[in-house]
Amino acid sequence: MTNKSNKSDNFVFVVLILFSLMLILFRLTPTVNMLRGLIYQILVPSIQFTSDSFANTGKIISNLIQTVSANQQNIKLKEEVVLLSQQLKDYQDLVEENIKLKNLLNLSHTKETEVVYANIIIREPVHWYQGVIINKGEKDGLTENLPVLFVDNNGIACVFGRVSKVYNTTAEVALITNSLSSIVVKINNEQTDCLLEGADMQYLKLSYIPNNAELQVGDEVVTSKISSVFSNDIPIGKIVDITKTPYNEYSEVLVLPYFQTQSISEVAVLLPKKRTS
Amino acid sequence: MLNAIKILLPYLVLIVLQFVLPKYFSLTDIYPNFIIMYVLFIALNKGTMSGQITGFIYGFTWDVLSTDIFGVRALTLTICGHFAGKFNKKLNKDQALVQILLMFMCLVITQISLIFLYFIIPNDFGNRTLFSNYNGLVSVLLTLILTPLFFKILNYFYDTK
Repeated sequence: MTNKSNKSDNFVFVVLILFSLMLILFRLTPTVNMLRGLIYQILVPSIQFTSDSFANTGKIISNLIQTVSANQQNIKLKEEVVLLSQQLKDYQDLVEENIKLKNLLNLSHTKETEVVYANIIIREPVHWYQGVIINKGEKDGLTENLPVLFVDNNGIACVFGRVSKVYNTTAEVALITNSLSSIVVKINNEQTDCLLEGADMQYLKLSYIPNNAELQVGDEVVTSKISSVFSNDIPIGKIVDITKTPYNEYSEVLVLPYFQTQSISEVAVLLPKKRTS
Repeated sequence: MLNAIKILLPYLVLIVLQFVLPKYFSLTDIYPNFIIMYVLFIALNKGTMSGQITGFIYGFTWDVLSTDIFGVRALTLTICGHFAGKFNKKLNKDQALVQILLMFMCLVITQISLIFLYFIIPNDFGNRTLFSNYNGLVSVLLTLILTPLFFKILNYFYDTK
């Protein structure tokens, strides 16, 4: 009886192992991808629901506190609205003037963007520094390589990552700490561009630093204007460690990204604005 | 119906525990592996067949939700469930030390399988095993420490006699 049970155990084990190996070997084929997509579509709604429920529970408490102070803020804001509406009018005049001048000089127009806010639904501890899955996808207009930002505790938008894979209702975001990520950056008090690379760890590594650059611990790193994904001057993090060679050359400069200093559950994806003609 | 709930409920709870909650409770990648704890628990209490099937189902789910090489978790957790199941009724599974030692064995088996798989199939999204850095080792320790507690909680829901 035990022998028979052992035989059936071993038979099922071999079948499961073979099936797993087939999944690994044929993971890039359409059939396996379709199977993965199907299970993914079944699982994600329940995970999304749970994730949203957790996020909303936290929000209820903060909403209550905010409602109390909202009334006072409302009075102040009304006064500001009057002031700002006048400034907006001035601004619109300036924009029109700017467009006219650009047209005269044949300069390209500034890129217009719109923001899609998304919740992080999955952040796997084993791939903590590599990527997350968000609850917005192709349906919301997301495409690959779009910049993803988060708003820090001071209300400043900082770099988080870029969209690496898009599904119908969800998307994978490759974090800047991913070893496959690299961004052209500049140090706030320097004029030269450097390359900031992910290393699958808490810190980012700064490379291609000119020898004459005078870096200091605490210097802020921001995106450069020649970055292909991000706009100019978006904060990324701060330098936390500088190692130099005996020849006074930079051997390793570590940057702690701002998103590593706080818990993040919501991010913003920047989409190019669709022009309405 | 009751059986379906008995299977589905822990499945959903574990997925939430492993994939949704980390972003609320952790700032780093230090986090215990609840799925492997559950696979070990089932294997020890229900035997090889249940252990390997549970390992496969949870591993497959992990693969679907992960950016890792598709199929590696299904393979490693099936192996883990199969070997852990061999100790069913052979050891005093209620002893914390036995649970910790078996969990360590499971972690070593899965990590060796992962290292081997990553060696033959490099991953596009970065290869990482728990023993490869400091945080990974802390996660291993956390998993080992929490195993007896997790088993105690599961004992309330499962008939393990």
